[in-house]
Amino acid sequence: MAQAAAAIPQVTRAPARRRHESLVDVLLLAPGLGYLLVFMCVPLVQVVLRSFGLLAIGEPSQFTFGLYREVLANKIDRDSIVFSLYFALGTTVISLILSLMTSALLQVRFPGRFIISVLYKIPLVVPSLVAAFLVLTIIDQGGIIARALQPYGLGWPELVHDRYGLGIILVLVWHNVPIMTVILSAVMSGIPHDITNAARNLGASPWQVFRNVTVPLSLPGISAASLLVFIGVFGAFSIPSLLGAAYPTAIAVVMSREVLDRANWGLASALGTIVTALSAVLLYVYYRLIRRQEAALR
Amino acid sequence: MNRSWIMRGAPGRWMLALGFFTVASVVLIIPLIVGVLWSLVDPDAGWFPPAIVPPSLSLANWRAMLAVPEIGQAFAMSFLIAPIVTALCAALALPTGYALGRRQLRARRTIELLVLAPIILPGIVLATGLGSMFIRLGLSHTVAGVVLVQTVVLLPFMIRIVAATFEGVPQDLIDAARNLGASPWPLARDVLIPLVRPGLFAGGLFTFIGSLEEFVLTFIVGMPYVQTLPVLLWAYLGGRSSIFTYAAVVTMVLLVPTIILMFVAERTLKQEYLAAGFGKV
Amino acid sequence: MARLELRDITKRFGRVAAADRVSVEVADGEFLTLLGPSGCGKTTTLRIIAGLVDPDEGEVLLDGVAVQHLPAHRRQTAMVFQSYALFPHMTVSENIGFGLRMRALSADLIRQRVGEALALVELEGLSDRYPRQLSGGQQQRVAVARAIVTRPKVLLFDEPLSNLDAKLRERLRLELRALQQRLGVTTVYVTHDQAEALALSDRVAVMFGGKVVEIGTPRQVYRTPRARVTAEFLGVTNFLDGQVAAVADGHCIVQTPLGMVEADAGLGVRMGEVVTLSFRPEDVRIGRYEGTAVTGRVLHASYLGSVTDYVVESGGITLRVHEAGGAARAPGEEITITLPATAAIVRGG
Ligand SMILES: Nc1ncnc2c1ncn2[C@@H]1O[C@H](COP(=O)(O)OP(=O)(O)OP(=O)(O)O)[C@@H](O)[C@H]1O
Ligand SMILES: [Mg+2]
Repeated sequence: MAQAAAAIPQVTRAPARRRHESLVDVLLLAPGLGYLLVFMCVPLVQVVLRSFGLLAIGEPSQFTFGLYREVLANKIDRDSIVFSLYFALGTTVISLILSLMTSALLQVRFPGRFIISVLYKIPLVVPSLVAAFLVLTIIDQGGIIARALQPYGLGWPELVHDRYGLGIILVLVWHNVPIMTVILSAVMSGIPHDITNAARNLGASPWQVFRNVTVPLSLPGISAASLLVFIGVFGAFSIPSLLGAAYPTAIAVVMSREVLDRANWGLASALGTIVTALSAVLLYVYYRLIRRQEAALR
Repeated sequence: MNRSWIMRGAPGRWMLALGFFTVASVVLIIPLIVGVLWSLVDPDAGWFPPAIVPPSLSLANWRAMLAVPEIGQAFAMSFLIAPIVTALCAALALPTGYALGRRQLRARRTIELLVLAPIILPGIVLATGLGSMFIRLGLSHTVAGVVLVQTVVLLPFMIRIVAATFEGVPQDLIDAARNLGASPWPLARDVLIPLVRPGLFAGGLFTFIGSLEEFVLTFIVGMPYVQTLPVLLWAYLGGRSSIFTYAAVVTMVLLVPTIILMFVAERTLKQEYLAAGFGKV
Repeated sequence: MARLELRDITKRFGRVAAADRVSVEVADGEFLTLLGPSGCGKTTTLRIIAGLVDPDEGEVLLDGVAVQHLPAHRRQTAMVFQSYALFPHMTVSENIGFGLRMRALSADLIRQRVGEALALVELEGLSDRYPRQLSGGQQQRVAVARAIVTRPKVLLFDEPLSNLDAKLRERLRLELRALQQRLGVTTVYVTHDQAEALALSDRVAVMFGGKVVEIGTPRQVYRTPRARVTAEFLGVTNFLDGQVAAVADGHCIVQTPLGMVEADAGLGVRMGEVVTLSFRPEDVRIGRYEGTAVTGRVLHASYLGSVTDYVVESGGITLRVHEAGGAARAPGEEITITLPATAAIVRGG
């Protein structure tokens, strides 16, 4: 207790000294934050302004909602938003279920646990494109599974470039389960064994312990991980562009086409603003939930 | 947990191990093996369905890597950009991460949000903004431009890891050193830096791998002159007709160093650093 | 070796005054303990001496020289932390030699002094181990060695024994005291354990709410506390209200509901004043002896090994009585007790 208090730097200081300290803070923060301000905030503001017709490239600038009207009127754009939401939600739910199972089981000691705990992190360092390629060689029509089934006269469904984006979801899940598992295992290993043991001692079965103790206590990690994965997948580009069908396409793919093929920065900016706004709203809701959770725990 | 609560006794644990290793081999090992096989397919014989294994293997594709200039160039480009980006991120993140980890800041919440933003923001949105900005600045299609955009997305990870590392140093150790007569510079050299070295190493590794892998921003800002390995891979897989064999070669070139680095660094790449990078929104 | 003086040291954290006009003098070679409950400001005071916390007001003097503006690394104090704060990336001998390296001593001299320090704390064989390879008690000794090896002017301890088991704590307590006396170094020791404070110190400063309420030898603060909180904090005590009936040469007679009790009248006690007496359970004797004897009834008895702890009721007042040896008495038994020949007058809350 005394140590915790001692770790907090002192707050009361003479004014001159405080001013000096603030200057040190600013100098220390300047490189990192300055960089982000210039290379993230400025372009982001430009995107938002451009989505309202300002700062337009190659056209007269004028405030307008026209670009948004264009997005809403265009079925391809609308469908791309819906499709992105669809596979983002699917990926998040499936990944969450799988990583909850994985991280709970990883809390148990078993032979070879160390090897598994290294192996499962491999996808973390695998680029999405590589992941797409590896999964492609397995699940595509000419992939290993299809080849293995052929002699028995069994067909293999179309999973790549299909309408339902199953291939996309599969690769995204493959890629995101380890990310979630890293976060959830860290949270779960932070739960004192005394607590789970107490629950066991009070007659809870392993499943009940998981359901009623582990999951609720991991909730901050669960929500953070889900949010992270959802937002990340929602704006994903490479995997949907490689494994998606011609129609519908992901919002990021539509944006890249606007930029690269048509140089239509305005429309891409409108779509980008929609994506950003959606992420921001989710983040805000998340913070509200977390705040309430923290208040409840206090 | 020396007594497992899920499965008591040795048989349960062996079952669990069996389950884990089965899943891992299906999901992780087999794709890797198939990837390797694709890179070794003999171009003359091919590897057509229904063959489960290629009819004959050769190193022809690997030789092609040396022969096909674009693969070699992309390789050089990737391994030129990654160290520069890592150095830049480290230089920018050290002071800022130190401030976030060890100093009492008034606008901490806002600063943390700012650092989090590039992690949360979809790369394509950043690419749209930076793309047009870089065209105007003449940075499009240049190595410098690619270094700068990659730094935008990788810097936040570095800052977070550095901050978490500095935060993890117990105040008592710093006080003890000062009490024993360490003035600021020896304090940093003999106590602070040795204690944060694993974290800085993890952050650097993270950034290096991140740079090797980065695709969207490099693609949109660097196209078509700055071609890194992922950009080339994209071309082989989808852009033009897919060339699985070359794609496999590029995949291996990308994968082998990162996986080796990961195994080497497993002990230093502690859970906390990864969690600091990804977790804690 | 040095004389240490704190003058009106004040430190506030927000609205909490962690140290409130603390004034203490520690003589050369003296062992002073800061004793008080958790959160009373002991650590803060110690850290102010070390220069790790800047006081809002007041002065720290070493041999009469104000040092509160010196940064921590030039204070020439050496602190043993509660957590030991051993550097995890350095071996035992590197840890111990750290302070000497900071003073840029020659490698030979450092080796020699580290060797001496290791011998002093009996850790010769462990010089190349890392802190994580040591037991708690061994880590504690390394921390002590690391502090004394720099030959500091003042040695500071922040609850150095609180992470150890009871047996070890007692042994190390004796070792620490012996070491301090051998070195003759001025020492300020922080603890919330009254037994430790009494056993170790030349003098004890009792702190409450950021204030030093009382300073005295262990015997003084235990036997004749001046403040009610001191009496209460330093073990079990009996309080008895009464009126001063007579005052004579430093002593007074107090009329209590149980009869006359003599008390030390050091604090300017006036005739007719209402005062509170404090006396220890072991000062009350079972049986009729010289002095004021009253009859009472045993309400509760617990056997503690070295003594039996009785709760005795007499004339509507309950007293704690400790008896070493003696026959076991059952609750309900009528007994005669003799009040102590002399008690302390305590003031405050
Ligand atoms: N850095 C700080 N910031 C804010 N308050 C502090 C700080 N350090 C100490 N305090 C407060 O000052 C008071 C005294 O703290 P201190 O650590 O000196 O107590 P202590 O007597 O050492 O207690 P313990 O026996 O628990 O170690 C406490 O109320 C504590 O909460
Ligand atoms: Mg303390």
